[in-house]
Formats: sequence, C-alpha cells, structure tokens
Amino acid sequence: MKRIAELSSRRNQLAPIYRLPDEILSVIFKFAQKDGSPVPIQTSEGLARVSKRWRQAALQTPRLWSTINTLHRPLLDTLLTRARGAPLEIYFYRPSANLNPGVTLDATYLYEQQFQECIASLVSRASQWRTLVLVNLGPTVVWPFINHPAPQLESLTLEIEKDSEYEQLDNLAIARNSFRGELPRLRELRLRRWHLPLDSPIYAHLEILSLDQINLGPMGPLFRVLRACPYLSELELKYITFSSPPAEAETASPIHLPRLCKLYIDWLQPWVLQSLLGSMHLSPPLCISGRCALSEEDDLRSILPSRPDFEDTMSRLLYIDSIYFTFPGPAGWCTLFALTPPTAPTVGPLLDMDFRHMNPTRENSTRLASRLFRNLGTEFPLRHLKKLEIRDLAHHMMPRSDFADALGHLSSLEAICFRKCASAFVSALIVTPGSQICPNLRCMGVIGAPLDGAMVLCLAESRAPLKGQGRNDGVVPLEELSFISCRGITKAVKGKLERFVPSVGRWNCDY
Amino acid sequence: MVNLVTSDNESFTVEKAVASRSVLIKNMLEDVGESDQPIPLPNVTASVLKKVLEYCDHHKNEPMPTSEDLAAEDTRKRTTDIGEWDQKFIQVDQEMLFEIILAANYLDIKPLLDVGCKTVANMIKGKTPEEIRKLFNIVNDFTPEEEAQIKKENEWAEDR
Repeated sequence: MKRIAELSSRRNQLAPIYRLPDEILSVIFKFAQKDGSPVPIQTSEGLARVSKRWRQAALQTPRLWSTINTLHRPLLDTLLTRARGAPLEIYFYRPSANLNPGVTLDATYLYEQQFQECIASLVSRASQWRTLVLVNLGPTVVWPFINHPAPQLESLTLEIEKDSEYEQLDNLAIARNSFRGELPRLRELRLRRWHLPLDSPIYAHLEILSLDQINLGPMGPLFRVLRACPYLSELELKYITFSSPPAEAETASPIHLPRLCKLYIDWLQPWVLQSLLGSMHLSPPLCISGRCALSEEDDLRSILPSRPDFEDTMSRLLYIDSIYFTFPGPAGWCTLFALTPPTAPTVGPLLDMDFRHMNPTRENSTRLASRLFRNLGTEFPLRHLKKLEIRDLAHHMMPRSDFADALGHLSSLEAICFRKCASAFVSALIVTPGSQICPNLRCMGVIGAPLDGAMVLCLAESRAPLKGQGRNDGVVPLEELSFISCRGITKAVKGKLERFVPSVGRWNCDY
Repeated sequence: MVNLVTSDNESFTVEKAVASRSVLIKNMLEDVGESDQPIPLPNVTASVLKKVLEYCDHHKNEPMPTSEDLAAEDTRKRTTDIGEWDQKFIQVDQEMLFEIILAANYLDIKPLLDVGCKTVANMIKGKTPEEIRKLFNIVNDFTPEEEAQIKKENEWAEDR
C-alpha cells in the first residue's frame, strides 16, 4: 500500500497544478475562504485532505485555521495550534432559547459553560485577535475578554439580541478603559445593548460605528466621538436615546465627515436627528436612510436643521432630482425616497426615510403626511428637483389648494407621476392666467385612477402652445402624457389630447 | 521600447510602460539605465509571455500597487471578485492558467498573480476533496494508515 501511495505521489507531480509552489497554493487557499464570513472548518480541512502535498501546504497556511467559532476543546486547540501567530477571527453566537423555539434552556446554559472553559485559551491569544464577535453572551463571560489589551483588534461586535435571556439586564456596561484602552487598530465597533461610555478612547479612529438600543446619557459626548473619527464611512444609530441635547458650545463648530457614505438612523428622537443633521458636514456619495416617529406637531422642520444650517451642512441634498413620496398606506407609514441621477458626476446623495406618527391612527398619519409633503420645496429646498412621483394621495388627505401651493414651490419640476391618487390633484396642474404652476413640466403620467376626460383635456389645452406661436407666460408646453389603468381616458379622449400634446399613451384604460 | 527574450528564444519589443508592469523588469531597467540590450526571461515561454503582455498592455495606465496597498490587503478580508475584462482574459485551459500564475509570480506582477490565484480559488470553492482531485487530475496519495491517522486527528470535523 505504501508503494502505491508513493507511485500516486509521483503521478501527482505530473499534474499541472503541482507546478505551483507551496507559497502560491497558500495564496489560493486564502482566497478560497468564503468572503467576509466565518470559514467553516470543513472548508480548510477539505483542502488539507486532497493530497499529501496539499495537506502540507494547508498546514503551512496559518490563515486557513484562524477563524475560531467552536467550543469543542480538541478542535479549538487544533485550530489555535495551526493558526500559529496569524490574526484570529473570533465569532461566538450563543443560541437563545427565547428567540429560537428549537433551542432548550439547557443547551444555552451548556453553551455558556463550555464557553467559560475556553476563555483562558482564547484570552491567552488576545494579542492576535483581529475580529471579536460575541452575541448573546452574558457579562460574566464577556468581561474576562475585554480586560486585555488587543493591539491587533480591528473589529469588535458585542450584541445582545432583543428577547434573548439577557434582554432585561441593565448592567451590560463596558468600562471606558476596557481592553486597557489599548485598541490602536480598532476600525469597526458594533454595540447592541452594551453600553460603552462615549468618553472612552475606544471610539477614536473608527471607520464603522454602529450603536443599537442603548441609552447614552447626554448627547454632547457623541459630538466629541464623531469629531474624533474623521475617517468614519458608516454610522448607524438605532433606538438610541439621549437624556439631553448638546450644549451650544458643543455644536458651534461643524463635524466634518468627508468619507461618510452611509448614515442609518432608526427611531431617534426628532431633536437628536435635527442636532446631528445640523452639525455634520457630509459629502457625496452619501446614503441617508432610516425611520422616524413624529408627534402631533412635528414635520420635516422637526428633524431637519434650520434652512441656513441645512444649506451649509447638507447642501449636497439640494442636488436631489427625483422624489417618490408615498402617502400613508394601511400601516400608517409615509415614505420619502429621494435620489440624484446615476449619471451625476458624484453618485448620491440618496435619502430614504419612513415616517410614522407617534400615535398612529389613520387620521393622524394622514395629517402628518400632508405636512411632510408641504415641507417639500420650502423647509426642504429642492432647487434641482425634476421628477416627482406621488403615491396613494386620496381626496380627503389634503385640500387641493394646499397641494397646488406645495407644487408652487417646485418650479424646476419637469415630470410628475400620480400613482393611485385622486383626480382632483391632477387637475391642480391646469394653468390659468393667474397660476403658471410647474412651468417647466414636460411629462405627466397617471396610474390607477379614474379620470374625467374633460378635465384632462382642459389641462392639456391649458399647457399647449398657442396656435401658430409659442407662449409668452413662461410655461413650457407638455410633450408627453401617459395613462395606465385610468378609467375615463377613452380612445376618443386620447385622439383629442393628441391635438395639444405630441405624445399621448394609454394602456389598460378600457376596463 | 524594451526588448524581451523568452526561454524559447523569441523576442518581444514592447513599450516601457507595458514592460514596467512587471516589478522585476522595472527594477532591471532602473538598474541598467538606458540600454538596447535585450532582457532575457529564462522562466517564461513565448506563448505565456504573449498572454502576460496582453494583460500588461490593457492595464498599463493603472496605478501600480504601493507597498501600503499590499500591506493593507493582508489585513483586510480577501475578496475573490475579478473584473470583467480580467475574467475574459483568464478564460484559458488549466495548463496556461498555471503558467500565467507562475510567470506573474516570477515577473512580480501582483495584480495578475491575484487574478490567477482568485480564478483557481473560485474553481475550488464549495468542492469536496474528491471533486478537487478530479478537477486538477490529482490522485489520493495518502496511505491507509495516514488516512486513518488524519481521521483520528480530526474526529471533531467528521460530524460537525
């Protein structure tokens, strides 16, 4: 048998891949690890079982064994031995009996017990940690981890999931000098329900910061944290509560975050949002998204900085050229989705916000949505807005005159689309001698609404060029009209519309 | 222009910017200075050099990776994404693929080496040892005793 194995080894020498030296095989093995997630041990062990030569190369590739996510002692010891001095990626997710009906309480206790037994081995390699992810693990097992300097640690995640056994604990606090303050390479910090005081040096120099479900006390220190992180590219703040706004002195100078490309804000108090947006100087490409609950009196003015500040700090948002505005549906949410065209020299910004009334009755939500819509063009200046799509605006939600007033602030508009909106709002676009509403409008579309053919004809005629000449009131003639699933737009109406508008389309209007 | 001579004695005259994508050749040119002397490449055949030069020509205007880039790459998570042009370029038979990798390693063209290694890595991903052997025409050369020993050492991995 030994002879056969020898012959097999010799035959392997003829395989083209055997021409690659071990160091190149090592590089290939590193690439073969699954991108960006823990490498299953079977992947590494599988590579080591192809042939003698591959086993040798795999065992000489410490990075192949450096993902630690097992509490099985023999396996853990083997991995730590094979990983040698390579940076370690440590991931532990304790199963939660509350979150997963298939997991018994005994199993979760056993996990924590096994984890206790492995702590010493893992902590003895603290100098090698590069990634540390501990999810649903209680303070008694986490604290030993965070008492050691971790000079190589780049990514730290400490999370307690909602409804996990530890949800009720209010002692999930991390000392400001955890890791003895020695995390010089930390670039990514994600904390959920773990409280790290904002004056901790751990926050310095981050590129990714995510804080979730934490009461952080006064807001001022957050400003100092953001000022200390000029390389921040992602900022997520979810369900964060603050006890008091920042002092005036703390907001006096702007926070420059030139690399920020993702700002995710979820369920923050409106004044928190206003303070943040009013102080951060942001550059494209930037995506701002999140959800916000507003009270009876709130509107965009409650969350956006005052207009002069807005033009100072978030001037890039003024370049938005498309907005999709959805009036509240059955769930009581309204949505504002705004973006710049992909052809813009710097893609972004993008704004995607869901708003909900704090007391979410249908009526309250409707009033809130109306106020938010009226903010467009006024409190939220949009000098470059070209395309507006409005969805689900029913006749009882807003007086037609208010709607017309709001459109009056959007004079750059070139295209408008009504999707499932009442026809009264379409009629607001009729030009009269006293009202040249949306003078640059060239295209209009209506989807899913019954329309009065006569009203649409009146609208088209009011925006058409005068016979044999142009217009002298500054109104650009309509070039395109389209109707999808609009009862009332018959073939005859279409024929008449074509006298005023060069391109008229109708689809599925004969039902 | 730079004159390169392959192991099978074929000459290639290329722009300096193209040849300099190879750190080995770039250093040689800097050491020798202006010269008409051909540069011998004893480890590369003409058919392989032709492919390598095609790659260098396509990427000649891109910035060279700095030592900082290379250091940073080692600390970041690796990705096996390959650009569209590179993917088409590297669609060659296995023999040529490994020759390109060896040539990129010898000529010190790190981006090309990465493209080659990523391609092989993508071929391996998700495959069992037996499937990998079949793919690369390798046979299992462990003795039964060695297999038993490995299995024993790795009992933890068997049913995990």
